[in-house]
Amino acid sequence: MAESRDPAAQDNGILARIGRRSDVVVGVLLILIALATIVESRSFPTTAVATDIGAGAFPTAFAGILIVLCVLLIFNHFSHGALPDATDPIGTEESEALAEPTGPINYLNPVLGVLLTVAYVAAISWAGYLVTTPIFMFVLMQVLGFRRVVPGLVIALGVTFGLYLIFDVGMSVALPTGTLFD
Amino acid sequence: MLGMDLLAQGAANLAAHPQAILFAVVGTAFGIVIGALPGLTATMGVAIMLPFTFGMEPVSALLLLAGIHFGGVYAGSITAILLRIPGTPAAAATAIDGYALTKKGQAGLALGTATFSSFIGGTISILALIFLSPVLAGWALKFSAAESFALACFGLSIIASVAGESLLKGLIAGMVGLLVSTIGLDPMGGFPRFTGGMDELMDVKFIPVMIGLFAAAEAFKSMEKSDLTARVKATIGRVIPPWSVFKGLILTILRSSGLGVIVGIIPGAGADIAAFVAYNETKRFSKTPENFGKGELKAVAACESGANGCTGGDLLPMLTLGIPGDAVTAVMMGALILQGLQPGPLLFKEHGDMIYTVFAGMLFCYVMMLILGLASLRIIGRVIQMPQSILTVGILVLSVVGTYAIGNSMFDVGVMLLSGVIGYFMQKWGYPASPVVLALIMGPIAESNYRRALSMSNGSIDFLYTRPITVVLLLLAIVTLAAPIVGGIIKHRRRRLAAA
Repeated sequence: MAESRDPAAQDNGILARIGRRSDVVVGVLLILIALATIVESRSFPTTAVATDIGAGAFPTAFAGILIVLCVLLIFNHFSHGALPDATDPIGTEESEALAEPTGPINYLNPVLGVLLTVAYVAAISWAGYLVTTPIFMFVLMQVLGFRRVVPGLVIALGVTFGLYLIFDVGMSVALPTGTLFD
Repeated sequence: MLGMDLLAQGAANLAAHPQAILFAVVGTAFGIVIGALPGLTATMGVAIMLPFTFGMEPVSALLLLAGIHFGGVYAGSITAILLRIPGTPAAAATAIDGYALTKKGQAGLALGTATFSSFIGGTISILALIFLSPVLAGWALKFSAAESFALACFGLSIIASVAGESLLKGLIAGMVGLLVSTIGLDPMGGFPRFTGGMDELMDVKFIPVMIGLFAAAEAFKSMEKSDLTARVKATIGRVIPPWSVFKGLILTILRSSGLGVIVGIIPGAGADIAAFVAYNETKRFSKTPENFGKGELKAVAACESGANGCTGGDLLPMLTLGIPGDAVTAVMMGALILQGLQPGPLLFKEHGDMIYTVFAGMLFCYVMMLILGLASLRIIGRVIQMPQSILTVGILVLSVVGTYAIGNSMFDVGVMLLSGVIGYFMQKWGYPASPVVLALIMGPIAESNYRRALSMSNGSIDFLYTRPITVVLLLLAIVTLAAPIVGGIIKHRRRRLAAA
């Protein structure tokens, strides 16, 4: 029961379970997308050039090949088991000993990171760049383990204004001011 | 000697562009920092800085990105030598003997050798680029739609080489990229495909996708790790190698640089492969191969000159043929397109002055890399102790703001974020990102040229087997695609035989 109260552990479990079946999940999802592509392509009109193969030919061909590859992926999964994750960037025996220092893998942080970034992107149009960016930076740094408040605030404000100066003042690219202040 | 004249003209033009010189210095310095930070690659550095080039004149933009690329490839060796943590994949081979030298108390000697070797390798590589590119571009000028289609097929076949651990997953990633590349206006009839009535999807830009896949996805991935900060304990000491030591390395550096150039020209093979090829060849030529792996200075020199020798070779097919050989050149190709320049033979015909100014600037970048590298070796240890949480948040903000700045579009930011999330899961489940980007770039070229060639030959597909260059390029594509598949089957059979 204690495990189920730990969000990180709970998250690890869900992601790990999906991860083990990722070949099947990805394969089925892509087959469905490819089938939808083929169906949609059939409705494309022919072009004015008589010898042209039409707007739907290439998407249909790509979708067809994708279906074959996904079927192979699913077949591989059931015949050989899940393929190992590509964690070795070099693919050599030596590189195995050269991995970065790793602590325990935390799956909750990426989930929170994605959610906070989505919220940040959604809030930018409303509250503007100068308001949302330091808040996003400070909160995410706290979530990721940088707990020092004053340096955190200084970094968040410094980066925000630094980028503002580069883009808005230096490159004349207007960053969003937000509808709230219009 | 036309190349030398054009280079001299380019150097004179560069001298008249102080802003471009400044950006070359800034790019190289930024690249050194990015490369030295474990987990941050040169590709990510180029991707997150790409939006900053918006509005710059082309020479400044290209030198900023080239500086990041060169500095990044070199600086991966710093953490490889000091901490046995390759700052970039290309430095993995350097870490083997580099760290052994650090343990022997010769960190400074290893770092200095790596810096000089990178400089020489990179300079030779840019010189090769300068002299080979007009030849290749001149040849490619004769291409019609049929040859361009075959060239795009060859470009797409590189997906097999950059697929990484699983060829099947690499091919799936590439095919998804090809499918995504068909979203938008049909190249022949102008009919909107798969847009769902959304105007923003009429022209899907691949730069937000690249920033998402290479920068945001990396940032999400880095959040999985605890906030570990590497600590440098080594005493660096003297960094400039004594002449008595260095002269014994010259032959190794020259041979490895040449190997790096050749590996770089082959699309799909990058600095990591060049470093390992150079390492193996140096070990094979060595009278004391037993010292390799135990702190052999020649190994460090070979890896670094090989990896940096690759940087100019990498750019050759991208600039002359419009084929990005790897992820970093794909991002740089995006920068050229952002500037309104289409990579390929016409680039040399129409913007020859600009290209040779950039080449002169690239040589300058390597000089700056040598100076900044030697000057910063003692302080770089402090930079690599920066907490991961600050870096990760900084990368995400740069990705969001940079993507917005390219087109003043929150839709592009959404595309970037979606690509980042997809890229994160792709990494987790073993799907490489490079094939997606290659497909996004090469897919529309393949489709439009095939359909143009078909229309020029009155609907007949005989252009596929009657035009010699087309045939050669298509055969090359088949070989490039088939070689890893056949290799994989042979490997699999050997494993099964060994298990039986």
